[in-house]
Amino acid sequence: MSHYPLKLYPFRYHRLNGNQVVAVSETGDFAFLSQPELLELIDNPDGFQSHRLAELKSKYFVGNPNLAGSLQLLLSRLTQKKETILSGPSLHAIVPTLYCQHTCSYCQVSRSLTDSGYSLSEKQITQITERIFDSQSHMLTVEFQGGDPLLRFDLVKQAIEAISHHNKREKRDVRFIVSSTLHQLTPEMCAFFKEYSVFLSTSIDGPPELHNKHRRIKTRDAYERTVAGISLAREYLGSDAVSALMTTTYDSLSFPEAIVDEYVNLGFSEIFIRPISIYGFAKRNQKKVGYTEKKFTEFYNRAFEHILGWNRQGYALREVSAAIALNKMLSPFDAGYVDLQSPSGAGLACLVYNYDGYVYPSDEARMLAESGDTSLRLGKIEDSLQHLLTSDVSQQLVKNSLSQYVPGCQECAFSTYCGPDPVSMHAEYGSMSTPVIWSSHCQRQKQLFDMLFRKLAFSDTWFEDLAYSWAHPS
Amino acid sequence: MTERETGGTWKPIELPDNLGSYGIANIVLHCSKELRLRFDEVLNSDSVVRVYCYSDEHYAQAVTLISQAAADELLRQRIRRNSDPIITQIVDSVLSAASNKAR
Repeated sequence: MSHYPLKLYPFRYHRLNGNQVVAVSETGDFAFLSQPELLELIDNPDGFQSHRLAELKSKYFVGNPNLAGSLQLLLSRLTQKKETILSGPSLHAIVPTLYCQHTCSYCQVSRSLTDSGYSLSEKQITQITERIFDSQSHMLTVEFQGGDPLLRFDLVKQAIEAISHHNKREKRDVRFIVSSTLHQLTPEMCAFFKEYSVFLSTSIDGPPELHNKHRRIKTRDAYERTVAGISLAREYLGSDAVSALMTTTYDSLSFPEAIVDEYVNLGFSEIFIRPISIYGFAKRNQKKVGYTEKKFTEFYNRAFEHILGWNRQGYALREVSAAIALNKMLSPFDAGYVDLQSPSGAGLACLVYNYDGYVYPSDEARMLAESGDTSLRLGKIEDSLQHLLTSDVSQQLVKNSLSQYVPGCQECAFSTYCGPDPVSMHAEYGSMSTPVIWSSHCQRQKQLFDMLFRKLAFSDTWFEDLAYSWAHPS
Repeated sequence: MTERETGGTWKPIELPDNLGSYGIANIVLHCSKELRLRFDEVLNSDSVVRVYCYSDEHYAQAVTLISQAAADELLRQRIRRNSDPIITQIVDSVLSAASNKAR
């Protein structure tokens, strides 16, 4: 029995079956409750046994808001969860060039080497490296995207050297990532990347025939060249310096196990299973490469089970989107993934400095620009950070991504882990204020959270241990 | 009637009286992903929603889905009534601080 009157704190719940729900408090803590327990929590929380009541208090389902320190603790937990948004832009993506040797069927943006005018100037690179430090965030991730940034290694090198030079004075925690096919990677580049602790990110869609079918180059050996790049990078930078992600096309749907096995064969410890984006050029080829959300969920769940199988056999393989979701569910600290934030991380936590001289709130927004929709530009590279963060587009993004006011999110149990994606709603429906539950982003995240909560509720302790290890990566 | 409406019939499902228009809107919003619902009927009556069904079995599934959604909506309303408003204000203050970055 409690020594002081208990108050119910607001919470949301998601039904797992007719007699069981997962309840999620405002802090993101969760509890599995039977239907009678759910009713008791709502109407008579004092009626719980002491150990169950202690659990519900510690998870902010009930408490006494008049107790000194109680609200401060709650405030502190909530602020920790919003750190990614509160601390200012931490992800700065630079698109030095749109040039790429590939002509991928689902590519959103890239331009062939014979085109001209698709790269940043040295002056713009200097402006960007100065702008990045206007952010208050102590943690700064600078990611080079493309096109293939290694085709303009001179600009990548200039930016990394300038940022590192600035940082001798600023003393921020700066991390560099270069996203590339790795086809142009040379030992000299590797030596530079080693000197500046640069991570490399590449794409492997699965076995060679699957990868080469959609990632097309003239010599038809994109897979072999990327694998050679991975080997070279590992030789110089170490085995953990290269990560890979895959893009799911219609052709991938039948081969989830083979795709996972490919990552194991290549010695990766992570796989990032991503659906195809419907932006840019991919929209044109949607009939050829696209599929329904239901199909993607079936594919993902099969791949996920196969990944669990490898882990049970002792091979540690982590699926990144599940790990991000588990971090949200099981850790008080937010890992900083900008796509699952409310208000949206696009523009607040992430800025994309594009080759065209403009700044966009997300990678997806600059992809939209390639297909003619430039309405999501925040401003120009030479504009001040304050100007970019307070632009009309920034304000619209925030207004349409506050989950406590957005129908569909207000009652969603997963809203403390998630957030509307106004950029994707704009891309799919032409309006940021489209009902959020119609968006692919919402449907996909709901499926993922539902699947993971069911696993936690009904699986053995082995899965629980694995889930915690994924949620707290070393 | 559109071509897509052939082969089935609109059938009524009664809702609890005390859901309110916000509650009904929530049910329609969530269930319309899986069921075809008549919005006009919802607006005209507080307690009846019409669902387009292809068979008795489909109708029974729709009744189960909507009844569960209505029961859950009523529970959510009880959570909102019973829970401490101070906590909601604290949550709003943190989100406002985050939102103000763009103002």
